[in-house]
Amino acid sequence: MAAPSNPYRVGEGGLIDRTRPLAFHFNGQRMQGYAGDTVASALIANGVSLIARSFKYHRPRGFLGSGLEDPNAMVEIRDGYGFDAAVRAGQVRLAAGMQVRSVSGWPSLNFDIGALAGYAAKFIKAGFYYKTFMWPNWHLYEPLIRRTTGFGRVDANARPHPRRQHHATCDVLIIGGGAAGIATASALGGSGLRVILADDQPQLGGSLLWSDIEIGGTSAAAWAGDRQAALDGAAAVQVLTDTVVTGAYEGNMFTLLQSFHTDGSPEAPGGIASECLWKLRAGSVVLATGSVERPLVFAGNDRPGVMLASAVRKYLAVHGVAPARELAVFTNNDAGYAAAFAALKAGVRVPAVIDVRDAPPKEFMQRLAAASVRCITGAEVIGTSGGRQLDGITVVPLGGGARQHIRCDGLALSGGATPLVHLTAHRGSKPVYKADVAAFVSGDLPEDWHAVGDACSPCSLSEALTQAHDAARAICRREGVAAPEFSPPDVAQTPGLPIQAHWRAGTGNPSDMFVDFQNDVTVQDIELAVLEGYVSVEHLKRYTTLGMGTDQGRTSNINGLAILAALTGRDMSEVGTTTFRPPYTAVRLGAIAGDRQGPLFRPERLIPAHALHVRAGAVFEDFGWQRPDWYRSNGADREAAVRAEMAAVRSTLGIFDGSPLGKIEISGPDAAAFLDRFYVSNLRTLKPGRIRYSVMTGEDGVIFDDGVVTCVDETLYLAGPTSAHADEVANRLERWRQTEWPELRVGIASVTSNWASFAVAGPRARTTLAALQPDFDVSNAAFPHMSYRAGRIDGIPVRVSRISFTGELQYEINVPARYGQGLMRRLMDISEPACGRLIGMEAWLRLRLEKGYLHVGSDTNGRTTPLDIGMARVVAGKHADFIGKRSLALAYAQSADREQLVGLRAESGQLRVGGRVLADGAMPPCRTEGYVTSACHSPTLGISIGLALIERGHSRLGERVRIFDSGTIVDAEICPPVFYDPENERLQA
Amino acid sequence: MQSRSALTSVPMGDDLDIYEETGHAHVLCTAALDAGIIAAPLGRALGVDVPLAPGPVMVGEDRAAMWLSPRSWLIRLPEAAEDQVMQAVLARFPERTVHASRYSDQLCWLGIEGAASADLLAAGGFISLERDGLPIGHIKRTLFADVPVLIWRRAQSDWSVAVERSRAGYLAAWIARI
Repeated sequence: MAAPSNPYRVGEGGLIDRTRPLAFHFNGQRMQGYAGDTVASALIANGVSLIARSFKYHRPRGFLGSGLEDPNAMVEIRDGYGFDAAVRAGQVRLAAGMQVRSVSGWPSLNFDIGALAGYAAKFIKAGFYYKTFMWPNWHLYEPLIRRTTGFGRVDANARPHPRRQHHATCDVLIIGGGAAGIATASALGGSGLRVILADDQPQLGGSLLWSDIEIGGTSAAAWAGDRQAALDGAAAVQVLTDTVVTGAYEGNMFTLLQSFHTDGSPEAPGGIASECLWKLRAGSVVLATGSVERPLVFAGNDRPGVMLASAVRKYLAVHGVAPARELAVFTNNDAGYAAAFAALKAGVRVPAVIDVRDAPPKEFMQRLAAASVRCITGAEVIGTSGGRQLDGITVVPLGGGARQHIRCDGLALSGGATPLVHLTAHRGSKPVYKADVAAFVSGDLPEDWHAVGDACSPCSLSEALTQAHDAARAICRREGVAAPEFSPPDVAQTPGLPIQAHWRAGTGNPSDMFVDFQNDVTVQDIELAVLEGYVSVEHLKRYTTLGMGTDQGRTSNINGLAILAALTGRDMSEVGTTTFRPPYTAVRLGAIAGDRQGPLFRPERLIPAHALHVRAGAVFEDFGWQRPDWYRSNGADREAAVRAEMAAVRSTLGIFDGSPLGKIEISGPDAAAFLDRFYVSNLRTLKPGRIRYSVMTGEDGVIFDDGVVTCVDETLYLAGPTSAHADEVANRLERWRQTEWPELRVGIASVTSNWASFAVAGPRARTTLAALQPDFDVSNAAFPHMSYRAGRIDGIPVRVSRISFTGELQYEINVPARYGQGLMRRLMDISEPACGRLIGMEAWLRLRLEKGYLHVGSDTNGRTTPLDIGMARVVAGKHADFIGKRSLALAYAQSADREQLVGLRAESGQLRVGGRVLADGAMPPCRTEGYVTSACHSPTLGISIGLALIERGHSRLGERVRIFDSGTIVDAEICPPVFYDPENERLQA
Repeated sequence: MQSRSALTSVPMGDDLDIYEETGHAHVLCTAALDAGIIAAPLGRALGVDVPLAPGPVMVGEDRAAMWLSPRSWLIRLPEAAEDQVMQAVLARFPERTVHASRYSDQLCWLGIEGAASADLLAAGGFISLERDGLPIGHIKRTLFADVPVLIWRRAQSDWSVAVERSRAGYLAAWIARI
């Protein structure tokens, strides 16, 4: 029948290329397949019937399906491009040099110690894990259980497959390249609409490729090939093969995963050369996803050799592989007969076809009789025999009677078609049960969707083609283009008879009747779940794990739901289905991540002088922007560098890159009135050239941001929000302007990135600024603290603010960003003789802590108001309304019991952020009344200092408190928050 | 002070030419009134009409005006004209009912040309680059490679992509990776 290396390969036929053999390995054994094989078909051709072990009982598992519906055939694959720890053998095209390994079974797939669990099966039914392993602790058992379960092991050293992403739009997306999809695309081909047809197989045709029906006087497969050739030549139609539509989202947005495969050659390795994740937005959608066949439920139905009838047909017709030498068929509909005829045609012996229906189509029975095949009607299979391979089945008449044993090494099951409606469900459409086809079909379709063929409801081929044509016409009408010229072709198909639903065998042990093959969920498990009250379909799923495997219950859900319905006396409509969510099939996380890894993990924002900071030895930290945290040039380690940087600011000069600080220009005749509504300080009195610090609150009175506001002139102000909130503040200003105060004549321009900003701080700040030779007077009298000047340096526009975050004399110099590096270099040159230093974020924040300045986000939380941080007088002094004012007047906000910001001086130990202030000085466990928000050792003061939010803090100055942190106690004194130069003499100098 | 552009180099391919566009200045005009009231005088001050709707870029002799929002426009002009235009806007609108902000350094402009340019843009952005999605001469604000950008289609396969300067390095690295 076939070459010795491929004992199950049929002599001829199939779409494989027999001139191109491909060598591969399975579990270390060298094997051979052909170009066009899947890993599954190649393994079957080589006589492999045992492919995996089940999840729970480690029962032997064979190939049930031929593609993504197969719950059993999970393998790991290493190809020429990468490694996959768990993929379905039927979904992977064979390539030369592939290393395929089974992912279950220890020490080997054939001899699996885990199979001993089968002997304890009666004790470890559904819910076993929920009821046991609780004492003393689940984690005690977890490692062992994890070792015996799961699929595949991740290889951290393996290369990922190359990946990319692509975004596109189209007028029509057709999902599925079977008969209905091809017909729709053909009908739309000349419409001028941009059509994308996506199919998960390498070749269009779907079930036409293994159908014996004739279309338009030619074979279905040939018709599909002709149509694909025509579509490939159509300018407006793009055919995406090897592409799975993995998710459907709002606005007809879809994700598609396209694979690019190479067979392998001496010049290039074989395997998945790359993957492309598409994000596609479509105008109209045609769902032509077809259906999957479901198995029948009876004792021993999980034995290797039992296979879906559709898979048998595909393996025979597409891959030229016979899954058995003697193949029986068990069916409740016409599809089973097609498998029998295909097997006979391929030279496979068919001992019997068992049909639960009393009267199958006469033509089928006559054809079987002519081939000397027994057709046993009104009967069912109730058991199987064999070890790791089927060797026979037991058949009885429905309702009981004499048993007969039939020898076979393969059994094709056809329990009916289950429409693939997952994508409509992604959009929230609930499938509805249709009794005449014994299947859940799409409910209300999303807008601009059309379901055709089996995806709409199991139907004949001619019905599918007509639906496709109708869908194309409807789309053309909607788009206002000419109706299609394409007409549905004639189909030569024997009229069929209805399916007879048959959800489980009438006799046999329920614990041997498998519903979910991967998770070992049996009829008995469902019975137990019902007994324990889990009668909701969602509860049943979670209690039994029905449908929770990697196949997402494609072959098991409907059978399970039907059994649940019968056990609870409900009909299928009442039971409903579980919720289908994206992705439709497994997608590698790497494909989703795309290029978002390594340095591209997320967009980094760099300051204009980044490169110069790198050269200066900066150690960066991500504060939303990559900012220097400290400089290696200032010390051997972080602490030493930070101390040196702080000392430079206090004694000579520090240069700090503050470019990320927000810069928002508010312009117009009403700019002052507008800004005044956001800040708690009175900004209407701010004079041109002057600066004022303030905080901004939400409607709840809680601090949202702080910063300085500069009055350039009466019609132009600069708001300086924190770098973290720069974008948010600009958006907030714009939102309120548009929605609440459209009458105010205000323009808002966020220009943060346009300017590089450097602060020079320390006693030598003025001489440093003067050395830049700005075209304005920088003397203390002409340029006092909290004032602003605009001018030029070397002809370059410059904006300088005299403000201080450190407590020292300080100027912030802003130049257009392209000059940022130049300014930094000049400042370094000027400060070098005076031993000035570059200052990182850590030193900068510690300097402000010594000065007692607020750091929003550190020293505030989701409750902190301006009243809590000592701005009560400012708030009280502002008569005009502002956002949050009403909330600040409430008794809750005014309460003296609130947490208030104060300083802490440690009397023993080191304060640390997060330390809890213990109530009444008690020892834990006890109530706490606040926490440390900022803390550091102050080199200037020689003690550990901190800021803290403490209940009634403002009235407790001088009180000693105990602070608990990570098991240690620190004694501290509550003090005013300003530790350094409380008279502000230095910053005014 | 030495000027420095945001990017020094971007890798190029045979069917793709990517370069940093320099030599232009940009001014951001923000209106405190409805555009219909100020559009005409603003156009005279700028030397180019400002578009009143999203999409088309108004191109003048040596400058162009791009719609950013109902009350803001980005003006591209020769570097030498930057100060003059800012003064002209202030002179025309002394109460700053329109305000011109320096914007030349806010954005880094990448020119992307060549047969593979559309594929590159489709890899990083989800707007339609088809004829009806982004016609020649139109500009859109969108996300590209997860960062906000402006994409201006100047010809069939000739695009200008503006990214905030702080993110230019990331975008260049992303393009190089693609």
